[in-house]
Order: sequence, then C-alpha cells, then structure tokens
Amino acid sequence: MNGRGAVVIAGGDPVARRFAEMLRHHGYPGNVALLGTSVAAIDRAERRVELRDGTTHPYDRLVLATGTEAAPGPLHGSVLDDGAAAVLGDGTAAVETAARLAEQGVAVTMVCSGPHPMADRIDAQCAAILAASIPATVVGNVDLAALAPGHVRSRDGSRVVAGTVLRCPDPVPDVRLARSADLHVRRGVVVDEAFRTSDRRIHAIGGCAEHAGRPVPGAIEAWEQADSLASLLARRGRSGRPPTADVLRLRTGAIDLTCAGPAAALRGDRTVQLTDPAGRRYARIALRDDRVVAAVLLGLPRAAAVVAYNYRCGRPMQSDRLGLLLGLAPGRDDDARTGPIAPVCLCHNVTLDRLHTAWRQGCRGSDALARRTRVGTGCGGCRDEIDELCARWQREEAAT
Amino acid sequence: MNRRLVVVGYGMVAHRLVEHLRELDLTGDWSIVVLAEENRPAYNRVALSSYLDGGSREGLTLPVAGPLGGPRADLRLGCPAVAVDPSARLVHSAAGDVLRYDALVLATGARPFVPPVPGHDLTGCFAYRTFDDVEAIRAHAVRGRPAVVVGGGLLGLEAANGLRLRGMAPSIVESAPHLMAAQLDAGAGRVLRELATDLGLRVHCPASLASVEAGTDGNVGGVRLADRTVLPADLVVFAAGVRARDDLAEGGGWDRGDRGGFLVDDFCRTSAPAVWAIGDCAAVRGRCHGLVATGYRMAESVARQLVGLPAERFDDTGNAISLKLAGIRVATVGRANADAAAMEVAFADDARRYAKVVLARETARILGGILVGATASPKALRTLVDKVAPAGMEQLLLPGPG
Repeated sequence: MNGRGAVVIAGGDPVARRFAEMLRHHGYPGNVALLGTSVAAIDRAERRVELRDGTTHPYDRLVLATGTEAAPGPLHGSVLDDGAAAVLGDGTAAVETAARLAEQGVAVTMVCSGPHPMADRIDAQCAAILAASIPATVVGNVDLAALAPGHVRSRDGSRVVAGTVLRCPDPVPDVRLARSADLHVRRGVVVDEAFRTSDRRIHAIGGCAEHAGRPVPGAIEAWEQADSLASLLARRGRSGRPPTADVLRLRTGAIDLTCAGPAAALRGDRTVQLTDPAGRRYARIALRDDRVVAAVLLGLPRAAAVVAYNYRCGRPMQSDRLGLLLGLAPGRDDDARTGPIAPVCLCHNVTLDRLHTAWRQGCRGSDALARRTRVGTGCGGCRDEIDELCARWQREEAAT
Repeated sequence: MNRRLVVVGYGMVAHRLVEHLRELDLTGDWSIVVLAEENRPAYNRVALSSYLDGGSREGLTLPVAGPLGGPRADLRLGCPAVAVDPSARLVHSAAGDVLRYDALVLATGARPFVPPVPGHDLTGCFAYRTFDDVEAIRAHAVRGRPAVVVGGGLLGLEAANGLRLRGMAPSIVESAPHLMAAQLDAGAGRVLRELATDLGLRVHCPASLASVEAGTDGNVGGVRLADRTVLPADLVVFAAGVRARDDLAEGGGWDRGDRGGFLVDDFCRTSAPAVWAIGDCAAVRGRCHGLVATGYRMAESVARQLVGLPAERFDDTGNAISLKLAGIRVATVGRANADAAAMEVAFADDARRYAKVVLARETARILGGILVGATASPKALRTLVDKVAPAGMEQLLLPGPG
C-alpha cells in the first residue's frame, strides 16, 4: 500500500476517535488508520509505525494521541476511621478529591509540593479562598516523593495526622512512544500551533501533547485540538480556526473555579481583581484593549461564563467589570461628585460650600481663604483648584 | 472668669489647638501658655522635604491669627516642660518657672526611632524630624554622592525624594514586605515601588539594616544589609518610625499605651483630671497615630471641649493620607483595608497605577480605598464613599488610555 496521504493515529486517548471522525467529516481523501494502543514503535526514517504483532504501517502523517498514564491509587488506603484524610497532590485531581471528601464530612488536609494547590494557575490569595471553600487545611512545600505511609511530614517538620492518605497526582502525559522515537518531550510531547512535534510529519493532540507550555489539556480543549488538527490536515495546511483557547473549569458542590489563558499573563496591562474571602469569591481578570488575555474566577459562576465566552471568542469585555462580577444593576449610579459637600481640601476637610461662604463673606483669593479655612495649607494639592474657583466666583460676581 | 491652659509642645498639632481655641473662645475665657522645646515657631513638618529641596524656612512657618506674646497667648520658645504635678496642677519648665494650670494639654510629639545597629551614631547619620535635622542634612549633602534612607514609609520616601532633588543618589532600605506598609496593601506598595524606581530612587525591600559602616575618614561610608549587600553612602537618614515622647508620664503618674504614649480615651482625656494628650504622643485607646490629620482632629476635639462645645468621639477610620511625591500620587480614603464584612476590588495598569476600593459585602457601598500613580484624585473617590459602586467606577478611577 502506498503511504502517501495516509494518516495513522496512535494511542488510546478518547480524543483519537474524535479526530478520526472529524477528518472524515472534513472530507479527508486519504486513508485513515486508527491503530489505538497496538503501536509499539515509530520508524521516522522509513515513515512507518511498527505494531506489537510485528506488522508495519506506513504514514504520511502520524498523529500521537497516547493520552495520560494512569494515576497511582491510594498510598495507604483504609477506612476513614478517624474522619480525617490527607490528600497529596497539587492539581485539579487533588482539589476535586479534597472537595468530595470534605462534602462527606471528612476533615481534609491538602499536602502539596508547591506553596499551595494549583500554584501554576492561581495566586496565594485565590488559593486561600479555594481552601476555605473546600474546606481544607493546606500544607505546602512538601517533598511528596519523600513521603511514605504513616509519615506525612512537611519540610519544616510539622506532621499531618490523618487516618487516610490519598495520592492524587495530576495525570502525567504518556510520552513513552514519542520519547523512544526521539521527539522533543518536556512534560508532554511538545507541539506548536499546528500541533506539530519536532518531526513535521508527526502531530500530537490530547493528554500527551504539551501545547503552549501546558500539558494535559482539559476535555473541551482536547476536543478542540482534534477538530483544529482535522481541519488543518483536510485542507492541506490551511487552518480554518485560530489555535484553541485554554480554559479550565473545575466544579464540585463547593467549588466553581475557572482559569482562562496563561497564568503569566495575569500580571500585565489592565487588571481587575475582586477579593471577597468571607463570600468565598475571587476574580482576577487581565485585559488588553478591553479583551481578556487571562482570567481566574472562583465562586462567580455567572461572571465566569461571560468571561470565558469573551476570552474564547476574543470579544471585548463590558466596561462595567465590577458590575458583572458582583451582579450589580447597570443603572445604579447616584451622582454627587460635584455637589456642595464635595471636599476641596482633603487635608483640612474644607468643603466647597464652606469655601463659597467664606468667599461671600469677603475672603477674596487663596490667601484669604487659607487664613479663614486653612484650605490649601496641607499638602497643597488643591491650590490650583482654589485659584480656579476664585476666578469662577469672580466671573459670576461680575456677571450679576 | 479667666482660666489658664498650658500646652506642652508646639508642633503642628499644638499649633492647631491654639489657633482653633482662639477661634472658638469668643469670650476670652482662656489664657494660653505654650511651652515649646524648639527655638522656632510651629512649622509644617509634613513639608520639611521642600526645605531640603532649597525651600525657605519662612515658607514652612504655620500662620497664626494673632500675636503670641501677650497675656492671652504666651508662646515660650526653647522652654520645654520638665515635670508635671497633676495633683497640684503645676507644670515645671526648663527655665525654672512653675505654672499653675486649669487645663493641661500634652502635645510632646514623638522622637525618631533609630535602630540600635552598630555605627548608627557615626558622623553622617541623621534623624529626619525637625528643622535642625534637615538643616544638618542640607549642610552634609553633596551633589552626585550616594545616600541611604532607612525606612520606606511616608517620611522615608519624602526624605529620599528631598535628597534626590538635592542631587544625591538615594537608596531606600525598608524591612517590611512593601513600601508604606502602615498605609498601603501589597498591590499598592508594588506600584509605588515601580514608580519610585522610575524616579531614580533605588528601593531595597524587604531588606533589613545590619550596620552602618565607617569610611576611611571615620565618617559614614555605607550601610550593610542583613544579606551582606553593602550600599555606599555619604549620609544615612533614619526615617524608620517614631516613638511617642511620654517621659512626663513618669512624674505625672499617667497610664501609658502598651507601645508608649499617654493613654487617652476617645476624647483624648488622660487618666488625670483636666489633662489631655493630643497628636503623636497620645495613645488613643492604647494606639498611637502618626498622621497629622489625625492629630488635627484630636486638637479640634479638645478645643471644643475646653469651650464647652460638644466634641465628636475619636474615630480612626478616616485617617486619610494624601501624598504627592515628585508627582506620584499616594492616597488613602476612608477605610483602606477590608475586614470580614468587606470585600475589595483593585484596578491596576501594568504596575504603573493602582486603584483599590473597599466595599461593604452586602450592599456594594464604598467604604474607602487606595490610589497610587496617575489615578483620579482622592477627592473623586471620597465623594463616592457611602454610595453604591457606580458602573463607571473603573474608568473614573483610572481615567484616560490605560
């Protein structure tokens, strides 16, 4: 069989089947072979894969969808006899497990290798509110690799006492096949915007792929990767869609967390941050030209839906970001910014109408006003405004 | 009936008390004796950095409404009080006078805190509190030479900016996690640091001072930080906070706050009858307040009490600061930090300006906030206090292109 135009899909990630369907949907003319986990090796020089039974398959394009490795189970599994559990791990799996246990009335301690859970996604303030929402105690900066059953102990020597210890590492990209073929691998198989690996004829999508520096995409994002790549291959390199947007949504009974975009972008340009520890709410939205470049929202499901939608579509955000976050009505303004009780001099709390009264009683000019009311004798920041007011009152007087 | 008020100290707050009392005391009930330690009339301490920048002494002198030499108002410069006997209602001055009082107001202020590190008393080390301090700094400053300011609070930033305007190259050493930690939150402190760095101030924060090092001439040559960094410096200015001057409490037998200061109630009354304390030396319900605006409110409250007018209970939530440091706005309005019943929303532009608003959780009404950089004026935020956060608040507080 001639390999020209043949697409071979290797790996058992559910996204593999989706990708094959999408190729057909886009009318891809060549052969498509969905080989699953039977692929044992890649021969890049000959452009073919070898199966476990010794047969070979040539490819024009190879798509790796090897997914993630199975996460290890409990480190020390027993009945939750004392109603307390330690959850080891930093990522969404650990947070979800902790939340489910807490829902059942278990006292949970999260033991993380980073300073707090999801440290690659959220800051310490957000993590504190997340922990309070679960609720869980957090012990950070623990060398998880050094832990053994019954010896959950952090670096500073403090000990976590728990009847049950659950190990909940985040899923690890399955990169064995890619690595044996000498493709560029960091945490996952490194791919570019067109999901190409370091070999232009080999692509990777789903759990095994590291796109934009982030391995193991969420389910929706993985689905979008399959669609994007299928469209790219079917149209011979012309992409009909932009690269997929990275949105993580984590929901349990107690938690509603949305993270969009790269965490590094949360510092730049305009940022809007809401912190409401008592209400278990937090938001940080980074904008450029009113468009969302990154966002983290916790405990704000409605606003999160709007922000994530705008982020995916590249739509500008409404100007009243606070109103969106807090669910405030748009027509809520009452305006007293320039009324008579507006202070002119903050240092001495001199109001506009007190100044005007002094003026009418004969204090003409800033010096006279200062002697009477002390206006402008503190930081002096209002002196220009006093001169303007004097000039205005002078004009008004002349006019009458 | 004529009664005698003795005021101990003549800083900004005592000045305010005297002027306000003279304004309110229309019947001439009180004759006032002021015992001032410094040899010059009250001046604007907040603006001392302008003197460092070459401003005039006269420009800082606080205005008075009438003469301060007669029997109605007798200002005695260079004549500090040395002892008080509250049971006999007597004050002893350094000149040997013994004054009987009907009312006594302690306004002794505070003294700069100099960290007791090795070398803190070398030639070239200065405090930053009085005219004399600033005069000495002015005489010692040399254009183009490095200087170190210990303390990244309001006063330290003022001092560093004054030195910068004098042509020196100042570094700020602050041990707290961020600048102006007493007033600002971390986000505001970070923006302030960026802006101060843009001005040419070098900021070492958090960093703690280990020692002041002598140069070859035996005078100050630099400072050493706890991480062993050495910063060269021709002069070192200590602006690392103040301690209340409450020495008179020894003889007077007054209660003091846990961290010093004459202990007073919400109306600035000490534990002795007819004795008040105001300004930096007063520990209101145990806590000293280092801001002049707070001191002014205390002075006004006591003046009203002296003439029998109702006075407001002291309330420390409105301790606004409003500072312009070479064009950098730093201001707080109302309640600047959230408690359990409040939430915060912060708007920031690329670490160059910052506006934070504290809101009531239930109503979204504005309680106060912090502004740093090219934001709206604190006045604009102040007029929003007690109102529901308006729809255009973000654009109002951070106006113009971002």
